[in-house]
Amino acid sequence: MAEDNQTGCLVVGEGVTLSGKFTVPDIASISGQIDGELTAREVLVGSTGVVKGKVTAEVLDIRGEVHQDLISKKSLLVRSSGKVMGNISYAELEIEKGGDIQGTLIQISTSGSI
Amino acid sequence: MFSTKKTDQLDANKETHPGESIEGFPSDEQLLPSEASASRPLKPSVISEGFSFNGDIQSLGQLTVDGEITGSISVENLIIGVSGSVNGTVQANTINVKGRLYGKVRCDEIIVGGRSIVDGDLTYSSITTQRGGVVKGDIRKSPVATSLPLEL
Repeated sequence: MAEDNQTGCLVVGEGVTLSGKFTVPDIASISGQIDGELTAREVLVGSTGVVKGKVTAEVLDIRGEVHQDLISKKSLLVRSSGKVMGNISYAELEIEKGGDIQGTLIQISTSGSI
Repeated sequence: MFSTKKTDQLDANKETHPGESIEGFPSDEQLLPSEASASRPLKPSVISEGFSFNGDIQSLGQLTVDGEITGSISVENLIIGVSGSVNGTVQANTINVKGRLYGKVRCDEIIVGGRSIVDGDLTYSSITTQRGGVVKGDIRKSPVATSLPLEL
């Protein structure tokens, strides 16, 4: 997670609700709820985290819920408690047993072009 | 009241059986294995590498595909090997994909290996994909466990 160097990081704690458009240069760690658009290099959605809207990231690690659009330019990891719904674009995919993934899946090249 | 007495008597009779079997009569226990073999699970079927099959397959057992199948498959367990390819409609309880699977898939549990491809409509109860496995198309989680395979 965002240890010592928190430059360019966003941490949304449990119980926090945000709405709007977020551009995060580095890591976005979400344990609360986000409504809107989230763009980051790396997005970690905790088990209590919920994102409703469009998520774009290179690396995505999901233990919570993501609804609507999801674009992962590098790797998408859906943990056993994770729930992903909507249009999902990814370069590399891993789903743990128990992970819930529903919608339309599209594989993109690692460079990020669809 | 009476019924309980009867069963007591039956039990008492049963207890005498082992003694009889020593004298050459087969005991109940000795008969059991042959009865069990009648309901033994089916032997796995294999479509081996280089084998291309076009048509429908139905089985209550396991099917391993290392070759190619085009058509509809309804089996209990489906294993698609590294060189295997299935194109069509698949219904199964468990599917383990190491090769390629295209088409309409309905299953309880699916495991997608690291270098495999699943492309098409997928309905599942439980999914696991290893890193690098490709899943494309529309996928849906079925709320109820699919009672599969269908009637043969």
